[in-house]
Amino acid sequence: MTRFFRSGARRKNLLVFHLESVAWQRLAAFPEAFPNLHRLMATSRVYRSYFSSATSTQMTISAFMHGNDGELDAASGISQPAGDTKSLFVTLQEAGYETAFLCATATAKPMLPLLSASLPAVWSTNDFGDLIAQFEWHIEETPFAIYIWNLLPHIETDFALAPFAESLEDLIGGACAVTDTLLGRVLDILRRRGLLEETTVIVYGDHGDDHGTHGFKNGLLHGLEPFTPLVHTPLVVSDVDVPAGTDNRLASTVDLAPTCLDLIGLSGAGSQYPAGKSLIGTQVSSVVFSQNFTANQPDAPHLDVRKCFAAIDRTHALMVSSRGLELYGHKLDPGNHSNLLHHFELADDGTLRLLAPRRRPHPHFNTVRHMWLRNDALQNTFAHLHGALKDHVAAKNASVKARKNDGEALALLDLQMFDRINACGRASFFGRDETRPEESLISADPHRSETDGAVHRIWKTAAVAAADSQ
Amino acid sequence: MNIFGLISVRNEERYLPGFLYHLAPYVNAIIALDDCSSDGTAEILRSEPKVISVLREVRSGPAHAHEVSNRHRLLMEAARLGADWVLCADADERFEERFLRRLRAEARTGDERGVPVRLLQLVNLWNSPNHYRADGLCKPRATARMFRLPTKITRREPGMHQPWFPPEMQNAPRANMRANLYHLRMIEPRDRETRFTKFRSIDPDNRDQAIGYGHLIDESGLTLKRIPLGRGYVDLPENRRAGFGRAMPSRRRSFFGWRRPAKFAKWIKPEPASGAPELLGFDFNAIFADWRQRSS
Repeated sequence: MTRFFRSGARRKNLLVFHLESVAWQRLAAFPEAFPNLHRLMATSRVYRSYFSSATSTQMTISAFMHGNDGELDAASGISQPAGDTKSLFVTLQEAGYETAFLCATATAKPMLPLLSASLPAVWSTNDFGDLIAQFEWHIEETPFAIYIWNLLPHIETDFALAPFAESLEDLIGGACAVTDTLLGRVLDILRRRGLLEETTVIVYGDHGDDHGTHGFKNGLLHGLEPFTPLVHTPLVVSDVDVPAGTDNRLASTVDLAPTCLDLIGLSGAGSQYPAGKSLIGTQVSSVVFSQNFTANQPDAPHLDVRKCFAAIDRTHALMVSSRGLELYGHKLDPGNHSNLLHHFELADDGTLRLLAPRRRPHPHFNTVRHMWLRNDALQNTFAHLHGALKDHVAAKNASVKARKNDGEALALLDLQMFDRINACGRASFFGRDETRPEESLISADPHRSETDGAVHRIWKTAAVAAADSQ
Repeated sequence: MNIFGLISVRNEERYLPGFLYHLAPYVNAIIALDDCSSDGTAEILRSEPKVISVLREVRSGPAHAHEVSNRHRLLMEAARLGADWVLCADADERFEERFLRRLRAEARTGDERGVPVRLLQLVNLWNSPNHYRADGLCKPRATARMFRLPTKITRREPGMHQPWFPPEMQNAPRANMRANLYHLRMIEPRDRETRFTKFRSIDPDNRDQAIGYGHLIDESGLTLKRIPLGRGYVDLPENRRAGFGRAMPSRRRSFFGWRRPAKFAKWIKPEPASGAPELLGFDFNAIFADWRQRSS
């Protein structure tokens, strides 16, 4: 790192602020805990359809730094990256940036030792004042690229804040407020030094927590299957060249490395991160991916957690694990409680076919079924996600096999799982006394007699009236 | 708990940016009084978001002519805007960084123990931003610059060199906080001479200060001491580079040298009696209280 690199055109600085354990759900539940973040959002670009690449922090940081979600796939567990893509911060360091990874935590254990090949040495402290002093020291050299991570909102680490809290909710909200205070302080320092305008600020959430809504999981709150409430997280980009406002395009963690390079003026280096798309361009992803374990990591039955991959589009999320496929409409079911595939069966050609309910459903559901059947929109969505996810997992499997030595145990996901529906919880979903849907198919064009309820009665009355008037 | 910074300024564009830079992160707001400034002082105050109110004094007169009146107006404005505690200083003064970090804890201690007046040591820096005068009349002395606003605030009789707090608090309990307030305008000899000339012209008969002002330029028996490790102050980064700013790096950092390798992560061993890991650097009680208040 020499002055020689910095003597050229002025480059923008980069500040990445990691929101630990903050998904949109948490931001919505505790808005008062984030006054500084909301202030920043008002003047920044907010990506409302950003989905994190993983449900665990370490994997998310890996996806951010390496611009892909496969860097850990061939490793044993969440281990040292086994891929060959250079980390974003290594790229920046080589380009003459002053890089730093600053972490506030409450535990003395070394932070992220397994990602040591990807990151600048992680500087961690339990003193926020010292973290801010480190930040001030690093930004004296420009251009700088600094990653700040406050681990306190993590459900395990926030125990250190318990003496200040009156309840669990107070603890969670207060821990978020601490993060927000830190965000406010570092932005304030940049502004006072006149560096804010020449700094690209990325604020993103890594994952959310699931408080038992998908089973107890032996107490595990994140790292479980990539349900959208866990991976639908905030992404805020503040940059003088990025117009403020809301962006509804799909975005993923793997897009962040090329986006950062684009924004700070090193777009040429972005070609080494082909898995992601720069969010500054006009390209639009039709699907993004997420996961909980690496491709080579075995299931964790003692936690009731399976290795699981997800393909997500604007309205639905398809997940596959060793239990089979699950499909959730995350717009209408943001908690991912209703596996839509309970209503379907998979035909031999891979298409979905709607099962007829044995008992007549409530009229509310008629609208749902009508829309499912009217133009096969759901089936097309499923087919798109199914194809994309299968290709994605197949590529991961192939990558791992190519990197593994002979004889090493592999725990890849069998692609046969794409041919079965996860039927877990199906009986309870339809009610204990409810019979399962008949294993008979109904036609794509529903008969009028199958409709019921107010709409049908109106139609019927109108038809009678029309007949009478003739 | 609202802690406000109060400052009265006249033509302070030299020291004011550093003053705002070092104090603004630690207080809820700053209230300023612009005493007939003709330089860029007003613009500097306008550009600082933490400055929520700027009072103006338009009556002409020598510096300090309206000191009592100005301070009274500042206190009244702070009370009107909801301050619980106030921190008073001049633009050429800098609070010790370690004190600012525990500012809210000090206020809380004052409330809990019923000691509303908190004393700092006014330290005259001399010939160097890292050294202070330790002898004679310019040696460190206690000054009451932090106090809880009383419910009743009356105005003092005119005269320079009076305390900031209102007369109602004259007999209130006081505690020394073991914190320094560094006076920067005593570093340069020409600044000291300017001060001497100014005070002699305003108060030629030493009515406001019986000991006179000769000590401002008298260097007989001069004894200088270095600011102790970890007792430094913050100033603008450009001043710091010039060796003018933070007088000394913090004690903890100094163990590793100024540019210690990042791999030496700092860890302060938690108190064994606390039962839970200890966190430092923020007023967590205040953060929780603020968020609770916002969400209620």
